[in-house]
Amino acid sequence: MKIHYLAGKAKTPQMTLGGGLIRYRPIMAVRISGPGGSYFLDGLLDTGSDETIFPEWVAAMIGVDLSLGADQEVHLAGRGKPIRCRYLSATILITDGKQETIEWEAVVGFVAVPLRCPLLGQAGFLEFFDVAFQGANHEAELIPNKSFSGRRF
Amino acid sequence: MIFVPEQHYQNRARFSAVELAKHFGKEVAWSLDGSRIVASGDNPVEVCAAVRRAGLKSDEVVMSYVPFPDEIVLGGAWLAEGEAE
Repeated sequence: MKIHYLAGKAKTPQMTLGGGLIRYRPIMAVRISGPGGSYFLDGLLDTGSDETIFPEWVAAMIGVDLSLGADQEVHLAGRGKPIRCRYLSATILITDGKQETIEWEAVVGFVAVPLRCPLLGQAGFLEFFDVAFQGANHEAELIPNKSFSGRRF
Repeated sequence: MIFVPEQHYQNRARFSAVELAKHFGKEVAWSLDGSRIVASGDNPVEVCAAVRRAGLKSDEVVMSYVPFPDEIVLGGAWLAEGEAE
């Protein structure tokens, strides 16, 4: 499955882009489902995130009772104060919008902080794919690997 | 099965900064084809409610945050923003 990076246009020239204005971000739509519903959200493919994390409001919207989830402190690199994260199982679905749709069950985290975009990290997401980030083409290719045990449509 | 068509992000990219300006820093619900913003606001739960009022199901939109033009995204650093608040 190949996804195209989402382009964002800056207002002022960006130093790290050599004065360029366009930032390309590996963002893709991901559907998360629970007993009460499903939502598509923009998710950030984040190889630096140990886990797959959604903002807490999503749990309520898909009917997941966070009081039933395991609770753990998450320590952030370089920051002193940990944040609380609750973990529960949900169904994750991604699609390239034309040929391939993939769905699997995963334990994901929900945090109460105002996370702008779900983090599609190692556990629960990237662990199931061999991913090639093709910076020049602004694309990422995700190929289910031997760890993947979900469904393909 | 409902899914996000390939053109979704291409259509979103066609929105100019002028068109998006009122949504900077807000949560929005994009139509599945990415051609329009169904609802927008500061609170994602309220945006979801507006989607329902518009007669759409929850998985007939894509929820998204619209960054400010010069905002730099640092991935998990969003979590640290919450710590600072």
